[in-house]
Amino acid sequence: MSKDGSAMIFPMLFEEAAKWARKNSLWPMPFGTSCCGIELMSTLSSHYDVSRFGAEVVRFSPRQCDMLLVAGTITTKMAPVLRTIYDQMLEPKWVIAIGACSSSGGIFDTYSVLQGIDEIMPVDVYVPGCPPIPEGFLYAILHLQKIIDGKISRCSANKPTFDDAINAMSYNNKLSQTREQIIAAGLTITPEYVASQRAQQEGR
Amino acid sequence: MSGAQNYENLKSKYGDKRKSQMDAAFELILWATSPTDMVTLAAELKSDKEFLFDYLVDLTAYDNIDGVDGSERFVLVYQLYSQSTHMRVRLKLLVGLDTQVKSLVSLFLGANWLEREAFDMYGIVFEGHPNLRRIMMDDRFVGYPLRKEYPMKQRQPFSDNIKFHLGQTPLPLSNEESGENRVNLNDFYNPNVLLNLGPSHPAMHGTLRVMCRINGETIEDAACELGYLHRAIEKLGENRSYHQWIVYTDRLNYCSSLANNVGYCMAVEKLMGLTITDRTMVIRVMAMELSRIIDHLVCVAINALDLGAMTIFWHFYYWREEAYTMIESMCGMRLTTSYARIGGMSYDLPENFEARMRRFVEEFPRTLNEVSNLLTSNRIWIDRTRGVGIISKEDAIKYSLMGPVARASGVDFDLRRDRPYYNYPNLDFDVAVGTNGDVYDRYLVRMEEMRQSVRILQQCVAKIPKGPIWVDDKRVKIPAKQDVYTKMEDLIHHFKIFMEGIEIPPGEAYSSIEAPNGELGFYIVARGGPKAWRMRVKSPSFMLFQNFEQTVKGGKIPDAVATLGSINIIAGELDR
Repeated sequence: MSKDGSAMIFPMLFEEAAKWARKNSLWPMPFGTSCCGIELMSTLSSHYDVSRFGAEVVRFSPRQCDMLLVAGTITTKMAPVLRTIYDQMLEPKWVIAIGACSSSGGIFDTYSVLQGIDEIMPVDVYVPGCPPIPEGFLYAILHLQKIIDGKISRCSANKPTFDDAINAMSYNNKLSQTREQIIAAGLTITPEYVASQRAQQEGR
Repeated sequence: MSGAQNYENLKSKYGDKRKSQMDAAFELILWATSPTDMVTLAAELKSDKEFLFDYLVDLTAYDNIDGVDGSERFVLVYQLYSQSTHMRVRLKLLVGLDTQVKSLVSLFLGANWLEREAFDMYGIVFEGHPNLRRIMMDDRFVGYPLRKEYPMKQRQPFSDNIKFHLGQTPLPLSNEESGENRVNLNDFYNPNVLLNLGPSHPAMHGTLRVMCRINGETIEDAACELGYLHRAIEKLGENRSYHQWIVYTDRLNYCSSLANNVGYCMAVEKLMGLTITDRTMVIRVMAMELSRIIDHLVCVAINALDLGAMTIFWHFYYWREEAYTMIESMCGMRLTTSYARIGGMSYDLPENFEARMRRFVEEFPRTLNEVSNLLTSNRIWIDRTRGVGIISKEDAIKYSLMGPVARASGVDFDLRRDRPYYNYPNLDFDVAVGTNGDVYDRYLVRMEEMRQSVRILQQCVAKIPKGPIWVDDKRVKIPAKQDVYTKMEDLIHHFKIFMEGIEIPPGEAYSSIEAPNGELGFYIVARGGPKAWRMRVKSPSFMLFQNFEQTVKGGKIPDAVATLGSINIIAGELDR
């Protein structure tokens, strides 16, 4: 307001207030698909009580939430659903990958499992464990609060855009083999090949 | 068991024209000669007055690319169970790449999804199947993932969600696809409004998807889509050693991991002909009953939460945490336990276990009674659950349902009593059976089963035998840690078990336990070596969810939520 710029104090104050409000009322959108979802329920329930940290208002509508909790294995079939939910959430939004499966695919390195949700969306906090104990999950929320506060800089290892996500979820960029090659590969192995492999193994 | 004579009778009755053999667990295998013969055989066995094989327990296939079982490419396997004689029989059929197999849906309704799964995983075509399309994988998926030549890590991602099918025809969803059939939402009296529930829906357990055609609030037709949590656990079973695969059993039904560990280890022990020690037996029974309690706790708590009764959730989760603390002291993990080992347990019971368990069995029934007082005669609860989601006894048998859901419908069947394993014959417990088969009865059956489990735990904890927890067998026994550090032989032995795995002779076995949700079976085909040739999980949730389409028809949308909560589908074991 005045010419020396002292009015800047108000926007600064407002920003601090917004940070304070955001970090203490994180509304989670739980996307619990498997085992980690059960531990997530434990965290929400009476013993661990996530409401001590202001994150208990669970909403299943992505438009009302600002913290996406991905708890559990995400298969390639589920990946488009998850990306849709992420796109439906309003800014500012944060993502926590709970457990080994959503962080990296975990022990399921197979034909149907997405190897980490950071292929399709930016992740703020990864929680290790299979599944992580509730304390680990609470620590992740505390960590996220520091990120929102600005005490820790927000740096995702991977920052896929929408187009990156589409690429990750389609044949073209991710796969070494094309669709036709897969069909062809289906016919390369014969009983004789298996027998020779077996003979080799026995010989060894 | 007096079953030996029965098996001889069965063999002489059906096995003279066909090839027959005994498996590692002394169960009869009959080889059908042709697809037509398979239908005849199944129909004869089903209507046989003496044996009455009325349950289709499982239907699966395995790859026969190495030609051990015959010249054809696949072997199709049917497991039948007889409620009256408690016998099992396994039917097998050699199937070539081009063979058209006859569908068994007309005989056993439960075969519907099982045949779809065999088609999805192996590409076996069933003639006369009402709706033969992929079940786990996307419709656009190329190849058949469980065939031996399909690479385990070959992913085929798609950038959009699967289009939905209702019955046989694709749903008319958009104008481009089918102009005139388009659902007009402006037409108030249009009885063809489609409602999609899931996969991300609070009542759909995270991964289930149901498409309903609704008229007002009444569901006229429903179709389920699954496979959103298909993690290829069965393919992993063929690519990991027997010992390594124990950790995957935890993730099948993650609400009751302990029971899964025990069930799997039991199957491998059956294959190897091992008998575990008395102490391990009691520990395993306690582990299974504890996991039954925590599984039912989650089921009832979530069911009540879905219907708006939040207090139950807080009450039950307190005790679930207590049980978790106990499990953590037993094996070091809360949820994914990996407690059992082939031939023993990973750890012996901790020192203060008995005192802790005594406290649990004394104090937990109090909470059970408290919740029972809150719900059983609660007007709102009764209105929401009684007469809702009814599964008749006939339907339960036709769809091969097992476990608490079947018992609530009046099927008096419990593997712990009918095909006893471990020391269940010495334990005193009752089998809870309902009459109406609605949500309310399922709730009552689950509450009663928890009480019976507490009874079993009381009896077990009163006399835990002393002694070793490992069988004295060099093939499977994992050496103690201090010996590994000090003795050369034990170090080598430890290295061989963990790096190479346990060698298991060729053979096959099917073993099942009464898991919290129903019969959980493991069917293992071994061709020698440390890895299984085929690892099949017969999961109870698969059958339960198959019946769901029928159960919700004619009900209201909120009733579907109540029904789904009460049948306790665990996606990990549904999709595997």
